[in-house]
Amino acid sequence: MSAVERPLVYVVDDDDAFRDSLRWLLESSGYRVEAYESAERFLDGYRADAGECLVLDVRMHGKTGLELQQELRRRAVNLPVVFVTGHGDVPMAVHALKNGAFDFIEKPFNDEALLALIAKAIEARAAAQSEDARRQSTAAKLASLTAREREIMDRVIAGKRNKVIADELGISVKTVEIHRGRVMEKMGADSLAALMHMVGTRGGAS
Amino acid sequence: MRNAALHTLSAVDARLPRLTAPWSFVLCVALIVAIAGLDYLTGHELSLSILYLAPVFLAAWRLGRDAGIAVSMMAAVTWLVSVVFMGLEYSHPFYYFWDAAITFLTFMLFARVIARLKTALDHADERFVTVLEGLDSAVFVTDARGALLYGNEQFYRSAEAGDALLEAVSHPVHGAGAMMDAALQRGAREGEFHDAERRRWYLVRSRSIRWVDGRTVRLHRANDITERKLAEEYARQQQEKLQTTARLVSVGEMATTLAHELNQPLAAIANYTMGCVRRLKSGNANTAELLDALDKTALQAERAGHIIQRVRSLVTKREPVFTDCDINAVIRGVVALMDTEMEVSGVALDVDLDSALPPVRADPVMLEQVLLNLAKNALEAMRDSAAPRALQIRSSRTNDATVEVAVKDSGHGLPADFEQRMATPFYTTKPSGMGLGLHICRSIVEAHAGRLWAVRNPEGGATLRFALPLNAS
Repeated sequence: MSAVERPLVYVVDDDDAFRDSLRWLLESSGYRVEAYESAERFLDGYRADAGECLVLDVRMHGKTGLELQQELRRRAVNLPVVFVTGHGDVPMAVHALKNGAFDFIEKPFNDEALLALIAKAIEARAAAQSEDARRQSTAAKLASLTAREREIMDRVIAGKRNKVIADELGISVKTVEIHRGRVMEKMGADSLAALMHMVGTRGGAS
Repeated sequence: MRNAALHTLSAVDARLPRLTAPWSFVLCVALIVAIAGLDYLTGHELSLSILYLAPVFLAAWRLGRDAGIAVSMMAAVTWLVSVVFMGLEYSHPFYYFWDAAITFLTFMLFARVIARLKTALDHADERFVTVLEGLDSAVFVTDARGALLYGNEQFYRSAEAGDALLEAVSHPVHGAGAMMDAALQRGAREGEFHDAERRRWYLVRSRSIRWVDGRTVRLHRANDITERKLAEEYARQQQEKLQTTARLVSVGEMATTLAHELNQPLAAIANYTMGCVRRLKSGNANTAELLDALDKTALQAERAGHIIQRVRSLVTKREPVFTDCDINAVIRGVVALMDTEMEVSGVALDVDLDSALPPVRADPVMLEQVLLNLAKNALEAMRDSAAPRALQIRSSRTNDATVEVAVKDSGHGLPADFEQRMATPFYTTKPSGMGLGLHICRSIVEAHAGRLWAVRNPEGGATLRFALPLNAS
């Protein structure tokens, strides 16, 4: 695994020793770590697209963990947050979860548990991102279709044969076949099944 | 001006008759007539013209230059008339007028000098008095018998306080003077005086001076220091309150805070060691890095140790100081401390004290801590229970040898296994508690050769009791 590929985890905690030890643990487990001593420092230093997970202390001097989480939400930063809480902070953690935190872990914790949480958070973020990307590319491909191609695609997905489509639209079967081939090409689908999967629930629409 | 002037002015004035301006003028005229009569009776061989200087002086001093000149004129004319009546004959009538003119001029010069002198003295005195009257301090002078000779505006401003001050410095042993600081009574220069009736504090400085008439008198300066005194008192009370609060939070709550702190080094230790384990397992361990991490681990263990030491020093902060202690007084003290909290939480408090309790050999501060903890626990146990919430604190003598205190609440009661688990530190029925408070209470009671236990009330809630032996040593 090269340095560039190793996922970046942000750590924000105001306890120097805890922050340093967490960096050590995460680096020992193959992550890159950027650690900040306060919410304010983090907001100055982070790059929205670089980090894949944020490990955040609930209780901090200055802006608290909860406040930082809300600030990130306000900025629409898509970064899963794993909260670290102390003794008796459970109500705060529940509050964090309701605000959309990925999960929380109580201090002192088992390293396996934390690492598993971070891995899950990163995975979930990646899944969400690829789903997002796929949806975006499909939308782009659909936008590249002409009106006629769109009409034909909708009917193909609805399971109509070329003959029926040609009759409905008052064009020749040959023309339908040409349009259909162009749709498959533009959408990047090599089979009807692939096309249906890609367009998914949109199938019946329009 | 209410005050008699100081210095020369007051010395001269003191010797002059105290009359208003018109009456002074009348007196001058009367004097002139009298002197003229006397001069006439004694005959021309005995000249009494020098006596006219008296009314001239009086007029010039009291009524000013013009009045002085007018009186001089009258005196000269009267003198001339008396001379004519006496039948004194000059070789030429011109000499009458010459003598009269010289007499008038002499009188007039005298009047002018006196008036001028009076004005100069007045001005000097006015400056002096203006400064004195403008002072924030009350300045006053008393003679050996304590009679007031002078007091400035500030002294008179509060006439009653002035009287009290005068009383204080005049009769140091009796009356208000008894309140005077001992230092001042011994004739020293400075002392504080508390006017209890008006609740004011004064800083009085006092010294001997030579008065205008040569007597030795006392000059006093009194500053109202009530505001400063109040501020000092306020600061002292705040400090006391702070100390009390520190004592209130010291046991259970402090332990909880420290446990929070303990989490930090413990979590750090776990992280460092597990990081080392992971690196060693994966085979990419760098010795220098590992050593560094292990060093940091040891530091964190030390940090945890310090925190634990703080808990320990908190619990065994001091050796018990045994005195003959009135348990009821301790209970009343705690009730006073918890008053607001009870009111806020809507708890009805019932304090039932056996007034015939003998004193117990105990450390009152430690007993206060125990009672506070029990009372706070009781309040917390009732936080979520329905009204009516009732807290009862009772003291009683159970037999010849034991005094017992019971703290009874109507809260959520005790779990089934409470008796066994109460002995364990860190056992708690509170969501945010650490389970140290009661454990420490029990240690304190046992240090007094006593016993602490809990019972379930048949009607709900719990009663915590502790018993102390009467003959403990």
